[in-house]
Amino acid sequence: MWQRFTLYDLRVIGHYLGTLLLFFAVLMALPLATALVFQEWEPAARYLAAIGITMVAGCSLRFLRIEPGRLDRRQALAVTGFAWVVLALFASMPLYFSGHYMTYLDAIFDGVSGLTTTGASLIVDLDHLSYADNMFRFAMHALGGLGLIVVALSFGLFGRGGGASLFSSEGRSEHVVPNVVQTTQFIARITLVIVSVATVIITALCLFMGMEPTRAFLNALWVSTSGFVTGGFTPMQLSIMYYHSFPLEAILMVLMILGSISFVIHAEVWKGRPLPFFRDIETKTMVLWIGVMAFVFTATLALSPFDDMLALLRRGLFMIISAFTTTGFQVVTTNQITTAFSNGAFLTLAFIMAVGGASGSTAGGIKFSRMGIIFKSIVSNVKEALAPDSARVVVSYSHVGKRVLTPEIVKEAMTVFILYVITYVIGALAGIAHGAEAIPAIFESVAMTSNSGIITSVAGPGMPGTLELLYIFQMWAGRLEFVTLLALIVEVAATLVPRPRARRRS
Amino acid sequence: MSRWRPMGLAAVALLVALASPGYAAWAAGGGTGASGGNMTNEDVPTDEAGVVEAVTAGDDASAGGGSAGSAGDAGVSDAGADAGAPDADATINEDVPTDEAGVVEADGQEDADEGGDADKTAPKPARPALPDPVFGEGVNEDNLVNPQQKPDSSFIYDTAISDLQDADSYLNDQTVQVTGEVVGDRIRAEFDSGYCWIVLQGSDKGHSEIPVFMSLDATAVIDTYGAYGRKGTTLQVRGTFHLICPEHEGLTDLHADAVTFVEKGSVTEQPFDIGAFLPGLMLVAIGFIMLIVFHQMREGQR
Repeated sequence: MWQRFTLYDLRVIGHYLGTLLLFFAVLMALPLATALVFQEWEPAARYLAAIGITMVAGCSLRFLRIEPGRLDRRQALAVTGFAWVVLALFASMPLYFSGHYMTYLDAIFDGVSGLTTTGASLIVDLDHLSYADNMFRFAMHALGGLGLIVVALSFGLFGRGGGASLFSSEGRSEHVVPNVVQTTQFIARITLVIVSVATVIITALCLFMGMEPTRAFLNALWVSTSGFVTGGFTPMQLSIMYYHSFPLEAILMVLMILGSISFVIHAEVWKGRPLPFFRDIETKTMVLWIGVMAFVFTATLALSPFDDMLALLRRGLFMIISAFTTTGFQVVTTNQITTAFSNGAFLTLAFIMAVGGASGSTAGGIKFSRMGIIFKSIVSNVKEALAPDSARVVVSYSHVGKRVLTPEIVKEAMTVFILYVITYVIGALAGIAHGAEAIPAIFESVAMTSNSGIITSVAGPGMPGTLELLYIFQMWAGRLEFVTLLALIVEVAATLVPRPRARRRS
Repeated sequence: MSRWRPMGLAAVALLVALASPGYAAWAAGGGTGASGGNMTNEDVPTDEAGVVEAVTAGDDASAGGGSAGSAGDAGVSDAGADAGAPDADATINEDVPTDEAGVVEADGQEDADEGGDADKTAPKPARPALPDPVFGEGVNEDNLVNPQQKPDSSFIYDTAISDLQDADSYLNDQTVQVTGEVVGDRIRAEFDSGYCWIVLQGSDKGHSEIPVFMSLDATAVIDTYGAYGRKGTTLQVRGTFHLICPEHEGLTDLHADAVTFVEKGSVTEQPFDIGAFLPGLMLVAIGFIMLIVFHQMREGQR
């Protein structure tokens, strides 16, 4: 028997979605301020109107329940699940009216992509976009990268009700400190410090490259934010190729790797305990997986026109890091990926994106921890097969302390792994059905579901609406790591389907 | 008899030249130049820095001077991306070799162009009548096309930037010519002092872009870099396209050989219109009122 949402549930969910919308209206004040500072009057008026609409909608939803009470787990799942799409819908308003999108669905796509830190963009003529619009795009990245709920909790938006339920519903189960609010504040603080330091360094680099001071600072701020939250939006159409700077690429590689490490590990290192990082199952899996894939990628590229050693080191290494951290920054053009890269290199990048980064980080994909657990489970099965009947096989792994591998942990890892694979396959088949070549279709599907955002030839401005909707769903599902989304879908479906007794009466 | 035939042709050509309206008008004006009344580069109006003032293409042609840099209509400068620093400073009129239409020539192009710095007082030498391969008669001397020119696939004229963006190996290492708007910034090349990168954006629907590697001096013709509210200078760039550039670690780029100024950039001023803010202000005001009402209702329930 599936549980249904009652009217009370819907009113509570509406109330908290309204709270998140009000918070989103506050976030929109950032592009408004940017527009006013740079005297971009048209974007300023646009963002003011968007703030007004979002505020009115948010307040209206809050009226659904004046005293919402404490959120239970089901309601928290629904709030988190709906939040990503509802906020993206409101984000699409100012984006679409910037005149840089072919269709309204393209603007929604970019809203979802920005919030889920996918980084794929269907924007047209990005280099003529206003500072205000760019600020909004990167503010969405920052909010989505840290997690809508994490940020909302760190500001105390949900009061004392249901913090832990909301926190875990966003795919985060590990607490840096026991208190959820303090954990979220730590995540926000660490992000602020790292992004600030990177911004200062990259600003100096951009100034040295000859950029105007304002543009140097804004570009540095935006790529630093996008790099650390493993987003992938860039302020320039040529992505990171625009800057023609190896030092800048090196800094971004460090930022992307930092962003793909679990915040729990960050906390351990900050406390002066770096050893857990090296013992962690995620770190070991990362080294093994990336080592193997880098070897395969280099071998396949060496047989393609991309055979120059310097090119391999500079472009190949950056692309591998961009792919496994699921950032989506590019130092090769989309055309090079499809024409100059061998099919093997193309597919290897897709595999790297599919696995993604570490759990509890800003990266997407299946995650190293799940891959490591599945590998440990195989080891456990082999040990059990070889051990005497009386022996009890215990396999443990290290992840912020020593843990024993239990069937529940393996089941969770396998379930999410299978769901990812099924979604990759469905997206690829849909791409092929829309006339795309097989490998680009697979690549694009993986890029969307793992929130990587490296797009090639399938996704583009004005793409078929059905495929675009599927990609939006994939980004959403990948960010919520399926369980929250599936639970939400089942609950909504169960609520919409009439009860059997009611059917008989009618 | 045949010995006198070229001289006779030259005499006829001289008479034709003297009788032409252009020559008559020039002769009536008496000339303005210091030497023999011929118009020279010194006579072209320039500002203190020696930059040629904006003139129309027709004026340029009649004055015989060159217009270059940000003020000219068709300034070409040697970008020197492959052959070292450029010799021509496109903004200084005296230094720039020009043709009749005021086009600034790239280094080593004087010989190729017809009538570039030719002395206007001397009559044009009569061209030998080339046999027409089709009709067997002499061709019109005004026809500068060599009918015996063989096809040359090493130079692809007027390639679209979108074609370069989607290029396959066929276009690799080809000499191409593209026209587009300069957008973004001028980024100094990290290992080549004196060189830089600009981005050229096509006018196609997808706003395709190509990074262009060129000498810093050649960017003097760029008056505006495209961004929000700014349309960048339109340039025509001729150069070598690399799908995987061996000099720049595999980047797709265009190494400029010659850069031609096509159109000035422009800045669109945005007037402040309070009327545009009114709907937003009203909505925000309604939002705040709803917030206050909500809080009062909540306090009332408590």
